[in-house]
Amino acid sequence: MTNESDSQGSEAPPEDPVTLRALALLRKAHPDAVVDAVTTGRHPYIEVTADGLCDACLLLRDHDELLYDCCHLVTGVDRPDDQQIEVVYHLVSYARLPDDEYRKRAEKNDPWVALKVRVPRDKPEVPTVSNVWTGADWHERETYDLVGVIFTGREELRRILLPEDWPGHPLRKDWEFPVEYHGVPIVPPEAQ
Amino acid sequence: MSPRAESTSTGEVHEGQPLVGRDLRTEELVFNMGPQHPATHGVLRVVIKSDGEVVRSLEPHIGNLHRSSEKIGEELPYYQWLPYVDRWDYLAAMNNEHVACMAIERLGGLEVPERAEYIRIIVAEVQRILSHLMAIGVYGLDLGAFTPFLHQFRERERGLDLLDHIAGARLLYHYVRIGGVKRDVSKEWIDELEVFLDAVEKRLPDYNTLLLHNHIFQERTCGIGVIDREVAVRWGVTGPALRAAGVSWDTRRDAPYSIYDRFEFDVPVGPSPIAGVAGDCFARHWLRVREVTESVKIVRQALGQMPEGPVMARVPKSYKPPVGEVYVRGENPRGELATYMVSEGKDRAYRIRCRGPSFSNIAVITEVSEGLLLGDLVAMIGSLDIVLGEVDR
Amino acid sequence: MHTWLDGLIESSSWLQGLPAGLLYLVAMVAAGAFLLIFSAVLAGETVWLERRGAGRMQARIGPNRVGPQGLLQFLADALKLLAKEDIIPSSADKTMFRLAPIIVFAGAFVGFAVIPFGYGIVVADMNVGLFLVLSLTSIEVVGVIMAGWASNSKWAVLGSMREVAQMVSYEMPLGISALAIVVLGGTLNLTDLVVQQSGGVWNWYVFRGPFAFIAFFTFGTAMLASLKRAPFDLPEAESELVAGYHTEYTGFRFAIFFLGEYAGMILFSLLAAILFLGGWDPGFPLPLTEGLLRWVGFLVLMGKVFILLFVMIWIRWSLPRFRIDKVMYLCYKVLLPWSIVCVVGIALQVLLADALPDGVIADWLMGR
Repeated sequence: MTNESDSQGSEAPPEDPVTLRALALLRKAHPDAVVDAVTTGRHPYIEVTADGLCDACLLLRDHDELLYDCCHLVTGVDRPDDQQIEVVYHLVSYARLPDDEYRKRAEKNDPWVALKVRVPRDKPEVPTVSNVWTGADWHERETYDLVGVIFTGREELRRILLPEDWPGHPLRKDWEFPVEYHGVPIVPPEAQ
Repeated sequence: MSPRAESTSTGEVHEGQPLVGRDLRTEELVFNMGPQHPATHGVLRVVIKSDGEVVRSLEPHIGNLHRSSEKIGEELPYYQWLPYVDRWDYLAAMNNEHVACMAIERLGGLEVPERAEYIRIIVAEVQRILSHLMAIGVYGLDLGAFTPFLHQFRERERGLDLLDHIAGARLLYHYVRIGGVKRDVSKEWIDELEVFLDAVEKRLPDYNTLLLHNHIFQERTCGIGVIDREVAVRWGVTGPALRAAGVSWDTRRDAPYSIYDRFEFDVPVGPSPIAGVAGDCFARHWLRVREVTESVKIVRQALGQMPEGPVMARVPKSYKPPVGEVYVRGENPRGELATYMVSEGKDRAYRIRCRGPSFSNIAVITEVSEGLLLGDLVAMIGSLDIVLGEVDR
Repeated sequence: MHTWLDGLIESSSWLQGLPAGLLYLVAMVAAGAFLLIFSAVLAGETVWLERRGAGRMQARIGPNRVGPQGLLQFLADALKLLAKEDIIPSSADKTMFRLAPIIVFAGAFVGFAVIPFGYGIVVADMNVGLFLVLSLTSIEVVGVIMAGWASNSKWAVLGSMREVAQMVSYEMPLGISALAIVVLGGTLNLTDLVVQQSGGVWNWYVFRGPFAFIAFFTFGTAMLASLKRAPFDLPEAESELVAGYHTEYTGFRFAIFFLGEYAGMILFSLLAAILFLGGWDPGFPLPLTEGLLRWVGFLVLMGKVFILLFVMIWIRWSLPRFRIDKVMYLCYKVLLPWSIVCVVGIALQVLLADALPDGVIADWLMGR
C-alpha cells in the first residue's frame, strides 16, 4: 500500500531508519505477521495482522536492537468507507537503551514506531497488548469505550471515561446522539 | 454492636465468641475518595480497600471530567477546535496549544516564523514555571503545609499577569495559533518577564526552606510511593515522575521539537542528592523544583536569541491539510503530551487522539499503592501532580 | 471566690436575710456565665489572632473589615454559622450527633473554673486543680468519638479513631510532664504553684534545673498533639480525611467544635504558663500596691498566654503534617521516655536539695 502523506517535493522521500530496522527484524522473525509498511513520510508505520500482533509486540519489546519498552498510545480510527477499524499503536523506548543508542534515535527527530492493525468493522477484535506493556491497559479500555474495539484475552474490558450504560461508542462515525440519558434529554450540538 | 458495624474495620462480632484472637473477623473498609475530596486534585475518584489506615488495594475511577474533546475535534475546523486544547491540562494551556499547533502545522507542512517559534518557547516555559510552582505549592497543601501554597501564588500571579498581557486571559489563553502566535510581544513585556524570572529565582529557596529541607516533609516523602524505573516505563509514566525514577529522558532534549535544540539546559534525574531514593515522592518534588530553574535558563536564552520579524505565517482562511497522519510529542510540565492526528483533506480532522500524560501517570497508582498508609496515598497522588482535565479530556 | 462571697454576705445586712445556698447558687451561675463569655470571647479573638497571623505569614492580609483591624470578625462568623442550615445526616445517630459537640465544648470550658487568672482571681480555688483540669480535658475524647461514630461517615470514623489514639497516647507524656512540676512544687493547687515561682525569672519552674526545662518542651509538644494542632492535626487532616470527625457537621454545631478547640488552646496555654512560666509573676519586682499588682498580674499572665498561642500559630503555619505512625512514634519512643526521665530526675533533684546544706543552690532548686 502506498501512502501519499509525503508532500515535500519531487526528490525521493527519505526512508525512516527506525521503522526500517524494526520492519526488517519483524519480517525476519514473523514473516506472516507483517501485512504492509510505510517507511517514508511523516507517519511511517508497520501494518500487522491481528493474529500476529502479540508476536510482533513481544519482538519489538524484547529484541536487543529494538527494546520498545513503553506503549505510548493506542488509538482506534473508524473507517466506515473501508468497513474497517484501524487500531494504531505508538511505541517508544525509554529506559533500557544504553546512552549512545538514545543519541542515535534522537538524531531522527521522533524516535517512535507505529504499528497498525486493521480489523473488520462488524467484528473489531484485536488481541490485547496489556500483558506486553501494562500501560496499554487503560488505553485499550479507552479505545473500547470510545471506538468500540474489542480487545480479547484480557480481563474486564470495561468502559473508562463514559458511564457503564452509555449507548454506543461515540467516536464511531455512524454514532448518533442518544435522545435522552436516564430521562435527561440530550440536545445534539447542531440543534443548540 | 450497632447496625453500623460494617462501617468500621472491626466488623461484626459473633455472639459467644471471644473479642480478640483468631476468631475475630475483620473486614476491609471500602472508601470512596473523591470525586469531591480535597486531595484528589479535581474529580478523581479512588475506591480504596483499606485495613484501617493501611491501603490494601485501590482502583481509580476517571471520566467525571470527560468533555469529549476528541469528538469535538472531528466536528469543528482546526482553528475552532484549538481553544478546546487549552482545557486538557488547564494548568499548562500554552504547552497544550504548542503541541496541538505543531501537529496541525505538520499535517499541512506549514512553516512557522522564527520569532513565533521563540515566543512559543518563552510562553511554554513560563507556563511550565507557573505549573511547577503550583505543583510545588499544592504538594505542600497535600501534606498539611498551607503556607508555601499561598507563597507560590505571589509569583504565579505575576506570571499569570504576564500571560494575561499578551493573551488576554489568565488560564486558557488561545494564544498559540496555527502558523504562529496571536500577537507579538513588546519590549516592556520582556522587561516585565525578566523581573518575573528574577523573582522566581529569588523566592525558590524560600519554598525549599519550607518544604524540601523540612524534616517532617522529608519524613513524609522519602522512600514513600516509590515508582522505580521498570514500573514507570512499563506503565508509560512520563515527565518528572519518569525522570525522578532515574530515566534520563526529556523530550525537549532527546527528541527535540520546535527549536529546543538551540538551548542549553540540564535534565535533572532522580534520586535527589538531598535525601530519598529514586522514584519516591521526594525525588519527584525535588525534580520539579530543579526544573523551574532550568526553565528560567531556557527563557533567558530564548530572550537573548530572539530575532525580529513576523509572528504569524500566511495561513489560508480555510486551512485544509492534505490527507495524512502525524504523531507529535511534546514535553508538558506533567509529562509527554502526544497528539495523533489523521487528516482526510478536509478543514477538520478525521480523527484526533490525545495522549495526556496524567492519564498514564495516574494509572500507575493501582500497582504501587499497596501497603501505603492513607496519608502516604495522599502524598503519592499529590506528587504525581495530575490534572484531571487531561486524564478525562 | 468563696472568701470574696463570704465577705460580701457579711458586709450587707440585706444579703444576710437571704438563704446562703441560694446566694451561692446565684453567684456560681453568674461566675460561670461570666467565665463562659470571657473564654468564648478570648477564643474568638484567638481565631482572629490565628487568621491575622496566618495572613502575615502567607503574604496576605487576613480579616480586617469587621471592627477595628477585624477584631469583631468572630462575631460575624458566629452569626453566619448561626444562620446556616443545621444538617443532620439522615442515617446518623441523632441523639449522639447532637450531644457530641456539647461534650467537646464542655470538656474544653469547664477547666477554666479552676484556672487562676491572677492572685485570687479564680472561681474555684481547689487543692486538686491541676488534676481536675487534666481529667476534664480528657472528656473531649468522648465527644469526639461520639461525633465520629454518630456521623455514620467513614471519614469521620477514621478521624475519630485517629483522635482517640492520639489523645489517649499523648495524655501520658502530658500528665507525666505536669507531674514533674508537681513533684517540684509539692502541690496540685495551681495558685500555690504560681506563688512558689514568684520572685524573679530564675524562680520560674522552667528554669529550675535541666529536667524542668526538658519537661517544659515535652509538655508543650504533648499539648500541641492533644490539642490536635498542626503538625499533629491528623484527626481533621483536611487533605486526607476531608474534615475528620466533624466532616458531617454544619452551622452552629460546627462552630461549637471550632470554639471548643480554641478554648482548649487557651486553657492549655494558661496551664503551661502557670506550671512553667511563673503564671502572673512578671519576673521582676514592680513598685505597685497589692490590689494593682493583682490586675497587672492578670495582664502578665495574658501576655504569656498570648506568646504561647502565637508560637502554636507559628508552628501550625510553618510545618507540614506528621504521619500517623510517626505521631505515635514520637509519643511512645521520644516524649514518654523523656517525660519519665524528667519526673525521676526532678525527684532526685528534690532529694538532693534536701541533702544539701542550706544555701543558694538548694534554695533555688527547691524554690525556697
